[in-house]
Amino acid sequence: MSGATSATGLSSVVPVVPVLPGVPVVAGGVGGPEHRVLLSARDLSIGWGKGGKRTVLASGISFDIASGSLTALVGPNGSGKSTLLRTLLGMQDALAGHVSLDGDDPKRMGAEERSLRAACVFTEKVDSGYFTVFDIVAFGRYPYTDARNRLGPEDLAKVEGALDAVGLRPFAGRRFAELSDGEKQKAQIARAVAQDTGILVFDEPTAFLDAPSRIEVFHLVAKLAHDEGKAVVLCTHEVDLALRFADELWVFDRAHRFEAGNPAVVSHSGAIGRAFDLPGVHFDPASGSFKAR
Amino acid sequence: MTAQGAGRSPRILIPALAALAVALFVLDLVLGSVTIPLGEALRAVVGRASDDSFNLIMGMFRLPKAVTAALAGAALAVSGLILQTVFRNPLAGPDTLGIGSGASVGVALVILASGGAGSALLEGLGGFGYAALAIAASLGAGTVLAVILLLSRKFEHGVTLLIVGLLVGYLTGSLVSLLVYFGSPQKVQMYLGWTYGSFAGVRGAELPIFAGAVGLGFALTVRSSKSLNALLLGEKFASTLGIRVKRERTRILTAASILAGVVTAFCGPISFLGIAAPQAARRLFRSSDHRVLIPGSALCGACIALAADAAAQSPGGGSVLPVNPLLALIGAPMILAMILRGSSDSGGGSR
Repeated sequence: MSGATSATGLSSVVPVVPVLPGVPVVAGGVGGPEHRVLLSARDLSIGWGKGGKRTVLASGISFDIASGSLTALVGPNGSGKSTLLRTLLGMQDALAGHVSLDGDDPKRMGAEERSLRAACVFTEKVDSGYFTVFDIVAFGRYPYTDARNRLGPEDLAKVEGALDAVGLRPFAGRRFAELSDGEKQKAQIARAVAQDTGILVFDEPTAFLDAPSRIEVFHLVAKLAHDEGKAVVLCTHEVDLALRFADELWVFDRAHRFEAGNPAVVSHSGAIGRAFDLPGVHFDPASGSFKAR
Repeated sequence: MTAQGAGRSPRILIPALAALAVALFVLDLVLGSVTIPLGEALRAVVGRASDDSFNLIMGMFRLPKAVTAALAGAALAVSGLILQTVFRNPLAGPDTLGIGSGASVGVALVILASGGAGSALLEGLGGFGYAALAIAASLGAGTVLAVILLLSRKFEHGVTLLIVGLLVGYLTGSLVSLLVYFGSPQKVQMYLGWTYGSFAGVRGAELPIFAGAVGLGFALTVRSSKSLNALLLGEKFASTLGIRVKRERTRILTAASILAGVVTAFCGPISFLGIAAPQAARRLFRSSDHRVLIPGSALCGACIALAADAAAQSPGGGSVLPVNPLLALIGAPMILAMILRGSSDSGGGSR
């Protein structure tokens, strides 16, 4: 585990290090001790609605996510994973508590400011028209370019670096629309890399992908965290891959409880089985996968 | 972007299109009920033809009409481009979304319901009347656009958007019918003449207002070309790239309302051009970059409008065909073909 993250949930079964408000709890990772907290929350409540009519999906969420770590959010549909990601990015209001995006409240900064701190890839499929892979990756330089969007030498270097990072350099001149789903996802990840932010957020990066591509994407995302020192947060349905690659696993269940910790510990705690709670299926911690009863 | 791998070079295509537009412009000047030879026509543009009646025809009618056609075509094309990008739907356009009908309500209100001073307003006050017409049409267009924007959140993109546009068209159509029902025969005739669509309605005095409004629309659009590129890929996508989506979308759609509204006010509801021209530009340039597509669509739109206006002159005959039915004759089958093909290569938006 490189770069520690810690969190307290509403009903933590796993003993996790509680976070004292204002005191970043960061354990030095394997790669280097200089990891710092980039994304954190205190007593956060997420959900929908205002005033009297509100739906709370989860509350009492506190955590610190440091650079160089990969945090994976798993849980059934509608359990609040995506809502938490949107709240962390300031795209949705928190019902209570604080979020800190590299030191500041994301709700109080403009879209420009946010785009310099966190880059995201969402699930939605895009229709890219005639844009090439290069064009798509170059969108990552948007926060840095002028109104006419001319790419300078530094921008070009970042775009090419990002293309290399995901292995798509030979595809740069191809139409994005002609790529396979896996390659498209890699191009989107390259776009986020080109944005050159400390924080990377991926909303189900492996949706629509075949099995080998899923593993490839997880491998790539883990590399970005561990080698490039990014603070990576992703939500996913791939529990087995999350267990293999993530440094920190957060489990959301249908009752909107939330548990967090080291993947191995969380896996053996039974939290995953409870979260996905299906009568005919159980989670086998030994193999890290779901099995029919 | 610098590496437009799939695109064709705009450095060659844009001047080529501009040359085509100029050629069509000259053709439009030459054609008409009175035969004016090419040389004379060009001299008449600067008022130096040997025959004074040629100078008069050119200065009073043909030159303003050709300029209007070029500007109107360009404006509708850019408006259509904006709508196709913001709604991410290749079939969006000022007319399919009912924005033209919204502008019609504004125009009908000014012409039919402006009390006794209605026609006097237009005929007597000249430029001012037209300015009122332009503002009313832009407001009508903007209102419909705002409604469509709100509704578009509720459904998936695609043909549904066209159905909503159609329904909005019915709604505004019935409003106009009511206004027509209570309007005086003279005003009703004026309104009906307007609905046929013509580039000949803008005379010298009104041309600066028209050109100014179109110029404003273009300026707003060009300023937002960077945001338009990102919005093509989705609002969430644009927002994570640091674009203030709400502000930019409002600015861009205001530009689209001004462009479509002003053209509708001055030339009547011109159909299909707004959808066809950006499609043509996209295919021609094989590009989705709005820095290329904005001038490209404008030029394509100008070419189509000038060609339609020239064709409407029915050489030899004394009569002038209305532009709108001509455009519909070409445009409707084209859009049908696009729907049947599933618009897979449209590059305009999601299916």
